[in-house]
Amino acid sequence: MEEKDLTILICDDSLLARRSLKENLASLNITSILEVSDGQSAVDVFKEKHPDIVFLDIVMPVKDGIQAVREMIEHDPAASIVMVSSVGTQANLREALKAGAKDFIQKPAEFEQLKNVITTIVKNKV
Amino acid sequence: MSYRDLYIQELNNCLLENVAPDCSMKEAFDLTSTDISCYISQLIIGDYAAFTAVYSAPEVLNAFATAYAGFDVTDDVRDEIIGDFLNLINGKFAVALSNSRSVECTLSVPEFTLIDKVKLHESSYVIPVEFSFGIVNFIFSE
Repeated sequence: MEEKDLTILICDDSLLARRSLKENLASLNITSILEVSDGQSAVDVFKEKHPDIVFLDIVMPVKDGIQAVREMIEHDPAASIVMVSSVGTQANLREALKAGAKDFIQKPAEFEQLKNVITTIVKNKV
Repeated sequence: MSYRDLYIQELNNCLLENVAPDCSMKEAFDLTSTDISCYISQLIIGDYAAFTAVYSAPEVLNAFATAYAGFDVTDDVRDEIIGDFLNLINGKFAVALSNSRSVECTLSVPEFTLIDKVKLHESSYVIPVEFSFGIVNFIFSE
């Protein structure tokens, strides 16, 4: 699978973060982007649309990102979920990885880091 | 370094990097009155707890949000964008506490409801920051 063929789910309650991620993904020619703003909606869309990669914030209304990861991994243990959060504390890193997240990006997410994470996930999917 | 000084350091770095390289942080002063109206606030919770908020005149907050976002911000998303900045600085502060002191915190979701009388902790400060468009006040209460 090539990067441009990926379907990506962005879940963040921050308008700016969603906008920035979408712009970065567009630079990689990724156009199939799903977008939600809380953890419960992320789980619902994940189960329905089966995106290739999920970018997920931690601090969100309704359901936080760590709980959302647990539920996505329970549904699909091979899910590729990347946390994108301003709260990259040791405890959150531990919890996110333990829950099944593949990687962690500290906000503000930079293009090169995002690109590297996507490239690694695509390689591992082949 | 005290928690307050660490917060001020992180806030200053965050403002210079993400909002305006020419902004100027003024000396923090004790917040003694609770009669302040805040629309945008966020709690730091966990091993260490603090209340944080932002207040200023609406037109100054609009200019601040525009400078941070990098595009013209309309009234309907202004508070959300400033809440995003609060989340960014508080997140960086939480990471600094975790990495340097093994103090583990997380954040509440930013709140956008009017708080007529700020509920303060024992020590509370106003951190004024001067921009070309006016002064934005950050509240840090621990």
